[in-house]
Amino acid sequence: MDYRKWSIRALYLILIVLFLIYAYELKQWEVTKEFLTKFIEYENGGLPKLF
Amino acid sequence: MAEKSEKGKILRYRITILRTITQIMSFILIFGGVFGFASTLIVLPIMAPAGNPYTTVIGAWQLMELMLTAAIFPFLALAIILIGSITLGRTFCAWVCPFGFISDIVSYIGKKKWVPRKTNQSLFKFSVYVALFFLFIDFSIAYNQAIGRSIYSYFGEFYREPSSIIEPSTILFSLLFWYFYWGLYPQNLEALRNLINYSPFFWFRIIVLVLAIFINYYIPRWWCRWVCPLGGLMGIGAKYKLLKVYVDPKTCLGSQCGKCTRICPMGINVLDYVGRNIDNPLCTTCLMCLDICPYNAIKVKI
Repeated sequence: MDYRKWSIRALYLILIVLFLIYAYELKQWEVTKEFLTKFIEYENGGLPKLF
Repeated sequence: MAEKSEKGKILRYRITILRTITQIMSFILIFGGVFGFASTLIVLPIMAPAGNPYTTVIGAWQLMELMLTAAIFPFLALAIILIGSITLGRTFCAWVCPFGFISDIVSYIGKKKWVPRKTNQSLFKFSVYVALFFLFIDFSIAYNQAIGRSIYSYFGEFYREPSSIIEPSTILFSLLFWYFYWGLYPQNLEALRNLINYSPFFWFRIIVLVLAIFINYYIPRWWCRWVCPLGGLMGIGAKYKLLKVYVDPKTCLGSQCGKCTRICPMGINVLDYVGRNIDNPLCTTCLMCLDICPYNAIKVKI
């Protein structure tokens, strides 16, 4: 058994659980929904204005 | 050594066909708003722009940038990147990512040029540096937002998603989408003169997009290999992913065959991995090597 690999995987798992708990506590899904439903112009850098 | 039956090429390339179908279905679902699908709350480890009104999911990289530049720590986006990285690795790049699908279409009709293995591997590091560079910018924007300093004068229109300047997925599905949706393109000869008045950023981004698409003709998925910041981040954890592709030394003919190495769209020398798992950070688990292997030497295992 590769202990190094499994310890890194365990570290990943701890981080994932912590991040998901914080994401849930801070209601980050609501922020995601906001980004997906409202008009976002931040990706349109350089877009010509209406002439 | 029993070679796979030559009967029926369709059956022989069954995984590639399945992958292409998955890519088409994913493309339809990601831009499902066109068919009336509502936005979901799904975050995927792919490059899916938020600026397109028809997208139903959001890419983890885009979400991470949008949150960071709003001075919100992106717990959700990071969790998705870590989950993807540790379970399936970069599988989403090959099976779901819409820009990856476009890259694949161009590379299928193209003529693949050989890139030296060392160059290919060293250039992967560039994508990690790209990710770190933009994360550094995002954190600096977040800091300035937090202390109430205006950063618009420094980053202009890119102050919320700095990486979108070089990110072909947002250029294609957001910038160009709105350009045509709002009818901003020249509709008569007189209007053609206005092309010269366009922002240099517009032309720069268009050049990036054209290069990102057409270089795939010679170097398949070159952008995914060497520039994609999300690919760079996901590749870091490739050694520890649970889904593995294994090359069986008992059945592999090694350099006498080498079909897997020649077909790999990410330019990985699969023969380097005989007798072990392909833990290369570039591997997207597209399984083209598994399809092409005449001796069934390549296996997927968990």
